[in-house]
Amino acid sequence: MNIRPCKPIGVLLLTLILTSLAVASINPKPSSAFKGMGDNQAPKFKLEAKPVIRNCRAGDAVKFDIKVKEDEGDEASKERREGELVFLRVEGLPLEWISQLSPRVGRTDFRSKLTIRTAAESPPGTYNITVVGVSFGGSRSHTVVSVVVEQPGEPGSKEPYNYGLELAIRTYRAVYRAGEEVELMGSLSTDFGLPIFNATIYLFVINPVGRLIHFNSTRTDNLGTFYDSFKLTEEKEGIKPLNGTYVIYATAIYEKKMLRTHTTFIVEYPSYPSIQIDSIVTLNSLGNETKSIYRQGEPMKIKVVITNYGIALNSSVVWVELQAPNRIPIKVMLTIVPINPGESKELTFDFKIPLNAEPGIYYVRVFVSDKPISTGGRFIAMASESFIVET
Amino acid sequence: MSRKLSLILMFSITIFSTISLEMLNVEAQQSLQLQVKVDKEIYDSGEIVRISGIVSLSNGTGVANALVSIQVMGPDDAVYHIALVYSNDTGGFLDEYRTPDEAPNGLYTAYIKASKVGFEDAQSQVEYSVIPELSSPSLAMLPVLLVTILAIYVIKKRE
Repeated sequence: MNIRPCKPIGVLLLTLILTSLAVASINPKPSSAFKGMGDNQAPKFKLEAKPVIRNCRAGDAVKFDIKVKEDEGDEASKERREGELVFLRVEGLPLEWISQLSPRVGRTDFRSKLTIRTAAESPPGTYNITVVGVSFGGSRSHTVVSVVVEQPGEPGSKEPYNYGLELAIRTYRAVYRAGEEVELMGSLSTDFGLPIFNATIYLFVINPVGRLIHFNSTRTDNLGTFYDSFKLTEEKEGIKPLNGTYVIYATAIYEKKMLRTHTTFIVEYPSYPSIQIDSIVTLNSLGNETKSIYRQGEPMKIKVVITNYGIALNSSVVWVELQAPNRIPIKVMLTIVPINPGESKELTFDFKIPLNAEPGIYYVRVFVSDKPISTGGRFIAMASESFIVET
Repeated sequence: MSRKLSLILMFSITIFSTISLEMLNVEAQQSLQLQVKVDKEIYDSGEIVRISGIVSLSNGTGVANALVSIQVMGPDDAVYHIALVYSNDTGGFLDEYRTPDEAPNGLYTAYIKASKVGFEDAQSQVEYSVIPELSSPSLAMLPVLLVTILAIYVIKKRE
């Protein structure tokens, strides 16, 4: 029997061709890079600072109240039931100064406390810092605060802080219908709210049965913000978008560091637990004032607000893990709270900073699970905030 | 010739269909598999504990973007660490944390749950111990102590 030597190669080629066709026909096309960049729509909100000017000595900290409210002239805002989701950023911060916005994101109208720690080596003078609010569609508004450094400080009295990065992502709405366009927005910044420019962002969207329906890569803009949108159209083979809970994963890559986070949205009705941690705010011991800088041994309160966009949870657990500067977990607190769909809950946790606490940046990591992991639960949401401990 | 060509075509179509079904993922929810380990069995206080593992399907394929929930409980039944990490492209994940200096000695249990929309969750647990190492002064005193005990024993025996 004559066996032609090219027959096995022919079989292999045919298999490869058919395999490639299978993969190409199913993989969703990645959108072009830079798709979804904000188109700088007219601002739908305003920022107001109070006071607008503070005096201090070099090395001291000052505070400002930032109010974020809807633009009364915006017609769309009057029809909107939910407030505008706004991310806050700080621009123009001098070298070695640190700033803390608490909270850094919220829905209009809301207030944020801006704390600025000046550097001990800062020469006397007036420093103007811009607080920028960014919303969906690239809508921006800003306000300027001034810090007047009157006297020089003690050089070298404060150690420089090693800060980390924070990645956040949100959808414009929590619930959508088939055929609608889902808009999402995210931000990459330092723990102190300084924007990270030109980081690479990868976005994956998974439907309720775990299938990838959308993929995009983009970059952060000068405010550390990124945008994307996609339509909930019919999937291939005439399959309508499934009802249920969709998951959006975001991966940020910047200077060899990789961060990941996720958020969820619902089509028609939820099929999965879905909780949004709306805000984490660190407060004084009385719980009536936002605070970002504490001393060793000082008591504090941590306020957490969560909203349930998914199925009812009869015994959800809200966890708070506090981490010291070297990322050592120093305390884990938890509370069990039932929460119904559409309901928001505000929880407060008490914590006393140890007398021997190492000075530096501390992290408040908040998790929500449907039940304890040790009894079969899983974390549904995670968010973090930071504060500073000084001697 | 035509018979061989038919066999080749049938083989290729089978491959094509299998891959198509896998990618479409229209079957009923698949179960996740979870393998977990710690890098050591015994740690000292303040040492970094590394919990790693792989989230996969029953056929061994790694599952990306699975949410891995971790809860660590100490010998006193208190919670000492919690974390949420994501599996990478090959299903691998890693969580690192440092045990506090004040953490009690004893057996710690890490409970881990892997979950992803469209899949059945997988759960596992792993244990490790925290036992402080002998400090240098203690180590230096040990031979002295042994020699002293031996000397006392010899003296008493002679008596």
